Amino acid sequence: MTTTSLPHLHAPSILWFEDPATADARRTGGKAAALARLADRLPVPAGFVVVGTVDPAMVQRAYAQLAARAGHDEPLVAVRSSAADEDGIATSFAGQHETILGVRGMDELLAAIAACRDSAHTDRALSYRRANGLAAPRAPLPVLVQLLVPADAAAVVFSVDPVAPARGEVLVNAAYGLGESIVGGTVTPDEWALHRRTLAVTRERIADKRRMTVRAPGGSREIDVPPFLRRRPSITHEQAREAATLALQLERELGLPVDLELAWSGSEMHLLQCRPITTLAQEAA
Amino acid sequence: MTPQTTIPAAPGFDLDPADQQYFWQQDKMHFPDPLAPMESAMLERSLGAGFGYGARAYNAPIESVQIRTVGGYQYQSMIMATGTPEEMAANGARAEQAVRATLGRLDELWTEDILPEVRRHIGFWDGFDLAGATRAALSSHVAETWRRLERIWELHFEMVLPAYLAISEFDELYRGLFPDAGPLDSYRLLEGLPNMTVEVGQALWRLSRRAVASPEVHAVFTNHAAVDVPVALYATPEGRAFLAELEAYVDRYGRRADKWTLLAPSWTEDPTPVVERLQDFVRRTEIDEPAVVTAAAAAGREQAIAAAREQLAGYPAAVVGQFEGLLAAAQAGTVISEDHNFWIDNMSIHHLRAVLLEGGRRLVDDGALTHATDVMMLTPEELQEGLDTPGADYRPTVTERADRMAQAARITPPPVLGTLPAGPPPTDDPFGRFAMKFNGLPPAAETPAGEIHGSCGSSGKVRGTARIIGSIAEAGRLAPGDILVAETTAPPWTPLFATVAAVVTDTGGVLSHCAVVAREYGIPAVVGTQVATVTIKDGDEIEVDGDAGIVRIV
Repeated sequence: MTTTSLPHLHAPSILWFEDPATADARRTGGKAAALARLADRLPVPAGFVVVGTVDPAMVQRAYAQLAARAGHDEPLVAVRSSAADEDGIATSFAGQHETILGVRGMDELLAAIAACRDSAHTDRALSYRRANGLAAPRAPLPVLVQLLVPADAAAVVFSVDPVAPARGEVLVNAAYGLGESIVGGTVTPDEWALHRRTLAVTRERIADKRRMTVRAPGGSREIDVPPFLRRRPSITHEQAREAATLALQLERELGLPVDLELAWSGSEMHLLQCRPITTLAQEAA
Repeated sequence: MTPQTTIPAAPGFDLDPADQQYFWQQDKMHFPDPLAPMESAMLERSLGAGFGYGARAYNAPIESVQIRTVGGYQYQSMIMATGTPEEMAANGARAEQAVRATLGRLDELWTEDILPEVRRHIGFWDGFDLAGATRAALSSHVAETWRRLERIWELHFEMVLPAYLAISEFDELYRGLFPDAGPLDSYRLLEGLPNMTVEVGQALWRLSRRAVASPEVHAVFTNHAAVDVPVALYATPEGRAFLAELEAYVDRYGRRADKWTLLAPSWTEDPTPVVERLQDFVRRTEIDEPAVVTAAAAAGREQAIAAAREQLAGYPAAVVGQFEGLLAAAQAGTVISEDHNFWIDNMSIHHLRAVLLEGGRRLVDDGALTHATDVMMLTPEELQEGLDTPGADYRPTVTERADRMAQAARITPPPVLGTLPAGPPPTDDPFGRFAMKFNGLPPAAETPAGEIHGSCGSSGKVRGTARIIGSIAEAGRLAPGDILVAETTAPPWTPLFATVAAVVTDTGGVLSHCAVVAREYGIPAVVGTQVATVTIKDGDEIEVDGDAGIVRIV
C-alpha cells in the first residue's frame, strides 16, 4: 500500500454512497465505507461523505441534491464522524466521536461538520486512541451526512450474544424514538433473544423505558417517555424478527458476527450502521 | 424503613385507639367549619363509602377511605393497600390498565352511564311532593333518600377518579414531552371548554344585561340592598317580568349552596347571593363579559394545541397517539370536573337538605324541635325515630350540640392527627401523582419573610389589595382589582372570579376547583398556601405570581 495512490488527504471532495471510492475506508472512514458497500441493496438512508478540507459551496451543492432526493427543501440530516480506523475489525469507536442528529439547513450543517471534526481532537477521543495503540489523526476526519430517519423506534442488534456467544441467539435491543438513548445507555431497552436458526423468540424482557431521544428544533433532545407507554413493547415480534434476519444475512456476507443500528419509521426499517462485533473478533484473533 | 412518628395529641381532638395508627387530615378545602351531626353522617355515607367504591372500581392501591368527626371537625384518612412488592406491582399494573381503559371512554362514561343515572335519582326527588306526603310516606322517602345519596356518591367517585386522573396524567405526559414547559402550560390546552360552571356564569351575565336594558329594573338593582330587591321588583310590571326570569334562573341553576354544607340554604331557598352577583354585573361596567373571556381562553387553547402538535411532528407515532388520546381524555375530564359539581355535589346535598328539612318541619309540629333547621343537629337514626314513633323531645339535645359546635368554631383544628405516614406518597403511580396535585404540595419548610408559597394555580402576575373573604356573603367588600384571599372557594363563588384581579387560597392544588376556574377566567391564582388567610391582613397590598406559586406582601 502506498499513500501515492490516494488523493491528497486535504483535498476537499464529496463522496456519495453510490460512488465506488466511498467504499474505501482509507478515504471515507470505517463507518461510511461499511454503509456504502451496503447502500445499493439495503435500506440505508441516502447520504454523502465530506472528506478533506470543507468547501462550503461543494457541501451546499451536495445538500441541495440530497434535498431533491428527499423531496424537501431543507431535509433533516444526521451528521456523524467516520474515522479512517473507526468501526474496524480490531476496535470500535462507538460513542467516541460526535454524532449530531436533526440538523437542518446549510448553517446548521456546516456547524455540525465542524463540530464532528473537532471531536476527533477531544481528550476523550485522543485517550481512546492512545489506549488502543492508534496514532493521533493526521487527516481531517471524514464526516458522514445522511437523511435522518424520523424514527418511531430504534434498535441495536447483535447477530451473536456478545456475552454468551454459545447460546446461539441473536439479541435485539429496542426503544422508542431515535437510537441515541439506547447507544448512550440512558434507557433500559426492551430485549428480545431469537434463535439463530429458527428465529423463534426465546427470551423477551419488556423494560420500564423512561427516556427517549426525539427530533427537536435545532437537533435532538432526550425527554421522558409518556407513563402509559413505558412498559409497552417498543417494537413487535415481527419487527424483531426482521431485524434479526438482516443481522444474520450481513454476518454471512461479512464472515464475522455483526452489530447493527436500525430505525423504523412506521413499518419501514432502515439500516443506520453495520460493524463487526469487536470484542468477539479480538477473542478469535 | 422509616420509623413511624406519632403526631402530638391535641386536647379535645382524641382519636379512638384503633384509629391512632392511621394518618388523619382535616379537609379544610371542603369542610372548613365544624360539622353538624347530620353532616357527619352525610360525609361518612357519601365521601367515605363512595371513595372506597371508586377506588375498588379501578383497583387503586387504596384499601379504604375513613371519615371521622373529631373535636367537631371532619378528618379523613386514606388507608393504603399493603402487600409484598410483587403484589403491589401486580396491583399497580391492574390499576393502570383499568384506568387506561376508562380514559378511552371518559366522555361516554359520563354522558351515557353516570349522568343519566344521576338524573334519574334527581327525578325521583323532583317527583316527590314533600309537603303533601303522609308521615309514613315521608319516613320511607327519607330512608330511600339516604340509599340514593350513597349510590350517587358511588357514581361520583367512579366518575371523578378517572376524570382527574386524565388531567393529571396528561400533565405528566406534557411535562415529560416538553421539558421546558412551565408548570401551568399543559392546562392551557384544556382551557375555555364549555361546562356547567361557565354556563351558570354566562346565563347570569345575560340576565344582568336584561336588567340593564330596563330602566325600572336597573333602578331597583342600583337603589336597593340585595335582600330587598325581589320585593321592590314585584312593585312594577317590568319588575315582575324580570322577577319571573330571575326565578327561572334560580330554578335551573340554583340547587346549590354557598359551601358543601347542609346548613346553608340553597339559592332556591334564598336567592340573595344571586341578586348580589347581579348587582355586581349591573354596577360594574369594567367587568368583561364571561362569554368573551371564555372565547379568548378557547382561542388560546387552540393555539397551544397547534404549537404542541407542531413540535410533536418529530416524535414517535406511539407518542403522538398517546398525546392525542390523553388530550381528548383530559379535555373531557376538565369538563366533567366542573359538571359533576353541578349535577352531583350540589344537587345531592340540595335534595338531601330539602328532604331533611321537611322531616324537621314534622318534628316542629310535634313540638320535638324548635326550628326545622334544627334537624341537622340530629343523627339520621334520631330523625327516623322521631318520624316513626313521635314522643321524644329533641330540643335539649339540639341546644347542647349547637353549643358544642359554637365552641368548636372558636378553635383552630389541628391539620393532622394520628401517625405520620412512613414515607412520602408513592408518586410513580397515577393515583399518587393525582393526590399530590389535588391536595397541594406538602408545606414548604422555610420561606423568605413577606413571601407565602403555594402551588401554581393560574398563570399571570398582578398587584392589588388583599380582601380576606370568609363566605360569599362578604363578597360585597370586593372592589374592582382587589385580590380574593380565602381558605377555599366553593363552586358557587365562581361569579366572583369575574370581578377580582387574582385569587389566593389556603387549600387545594393545581387541579382544585379554584385553580381550574381561575384559569377559565384568565386571572392569576396561587392555591394551597396553607397560611394565606392568617398571614395576609385584610387591606394588605400584595403581589400574586401565579407562575411561581408565590404571594408577596408588598
